[in-house]
Amino acid sequence: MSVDNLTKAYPAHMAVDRLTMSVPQGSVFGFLGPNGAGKTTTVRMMLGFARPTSGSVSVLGHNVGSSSDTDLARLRRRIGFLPDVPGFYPWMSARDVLRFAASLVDVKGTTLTKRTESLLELAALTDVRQRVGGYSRGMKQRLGIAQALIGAPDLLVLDEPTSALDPIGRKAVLDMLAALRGRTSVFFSTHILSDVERICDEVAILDKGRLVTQGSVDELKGQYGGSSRYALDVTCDTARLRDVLQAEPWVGRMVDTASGVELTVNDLDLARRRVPAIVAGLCVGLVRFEPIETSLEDVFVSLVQRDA
Amino acid sequence: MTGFGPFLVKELREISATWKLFVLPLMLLLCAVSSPLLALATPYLVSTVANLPLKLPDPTVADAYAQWAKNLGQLPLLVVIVSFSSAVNGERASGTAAMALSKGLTPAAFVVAKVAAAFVLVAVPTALATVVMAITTRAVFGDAPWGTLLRATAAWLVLALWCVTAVVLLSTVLDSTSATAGLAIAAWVVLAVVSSWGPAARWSPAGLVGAPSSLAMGLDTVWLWPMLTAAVTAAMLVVGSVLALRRREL
Repeated sequence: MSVDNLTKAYPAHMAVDRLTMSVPQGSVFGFLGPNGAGKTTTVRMMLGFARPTSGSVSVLGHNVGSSSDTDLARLRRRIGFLPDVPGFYPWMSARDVLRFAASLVDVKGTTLTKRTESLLELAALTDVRQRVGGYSRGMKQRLGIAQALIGAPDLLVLDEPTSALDPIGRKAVLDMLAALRGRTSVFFSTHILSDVERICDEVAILDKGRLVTQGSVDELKGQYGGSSRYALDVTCDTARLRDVLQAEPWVGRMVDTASGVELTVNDLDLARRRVPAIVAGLCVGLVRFEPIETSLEDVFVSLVQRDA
Repeated sequence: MTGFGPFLVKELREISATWKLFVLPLMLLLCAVSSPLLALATPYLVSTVANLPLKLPDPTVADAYAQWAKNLGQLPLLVVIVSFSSAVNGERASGTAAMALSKGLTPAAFVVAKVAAAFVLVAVPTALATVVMAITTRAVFGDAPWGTLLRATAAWLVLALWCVTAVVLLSTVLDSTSATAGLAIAAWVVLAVVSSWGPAARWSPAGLVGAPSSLAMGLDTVWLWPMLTAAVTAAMLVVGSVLALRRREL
């Protein structure tokens, strides 16, 4: 899937602004952004539910904007889609929903029976006799993921798939998405960074409708997080330690912690030689001096704040 | 029309699973049972309530049929309009339209299945109610000529189905269900007013507003052109709905 210079402008604001990105086939792709960044609008344009102001979307070899109704229908049957707020007919049961979805994508016979049962199990809805109208948000989201998978799609597009799930439900869904790697391309938008960090091969970060960056999680951490942040913990006298460190030219930004400081190091070689000497000079015990691993959250926050 | 079959099945199941199954059929059955009885009781009611020393003529089968046609043109038609005013915008608002269309259902299949299911919901109870009407009329008056009853009811049925297609178009174009119902009722009133103009009554669907009553009373009525123009414009309204849905963002 790829989008090229995709723009969606509303009279009052620009929802998506010249977005260009590509999703490698078979990958698990995280589409990150704060609320209102334009993630859902992008997803709607990918599915052909919203018309771009300019630019194009290509999904599974089809240009979405220029496809006829029949071609678009054929394409959509190869895509499993979960909207941010999944809508179901309230009078249906979970089994009815899956059977209806299956009938639209032409899944029949024993495949239908097997797939329905396994997806109901995945969604933890096998024994639920209630109509969908009485479901909680989490139950609806689990059912939404199940219906997206009913056609064994080539591409799975999930808009905030884990936002209403409890930790156990979230783990089950993430494990299942990770298991699809290599067989189905998974594109999911979210603002839950730990989900992305856990399973995504590649990430795109969107802010105010614009692509801030795209790359693998490790690439982004390396590129934007660096490895210059260190935790220095000592046994006592942190105030004196801080005063001494402030005078050192290789120390950048410094933040107090409970048992020491978190500091940005400009010259790692010099720091490695000077820190033990400083600590020894203060006659305090060295507890730890180690790099702080950059999280995706650090990258995300720094990029979005920089953009602001 | 990809997905038409499964979506039509869903629509029919929805009718049987919700209040729609009962409201219109019960309304039509009520009309079928009450029309001959009301026709029978009308002379007595008029003379007692109005306290007039008039001797009104004995009621006949034509009175029962006229009452049936008059009743059909009131509440049942309003029920038809209200029942389908959320046909498309209701599904758009709840997200079910996006869910179904994301599975490869085309806008044409979506709209045509909705209209087809609505036709079933209107036509089947109308047919049953017509049979009940004939039985009740025969029981009350000893006779119930089928030809007149069928012609009058068929004219109403075509009008009701035409209203369905108009309401579906409004429901596709407008976001609000209540605005759809309100505008459809207003359009219905306009159609009723226009029907009093001769050329409109002869050549357009407006002629179907008065046709059921005229046919029920055995009057010479122009119905062919109103029926034909209703069929053609209904098809145009369905095409309009499909085009409107294609243009709508979900």
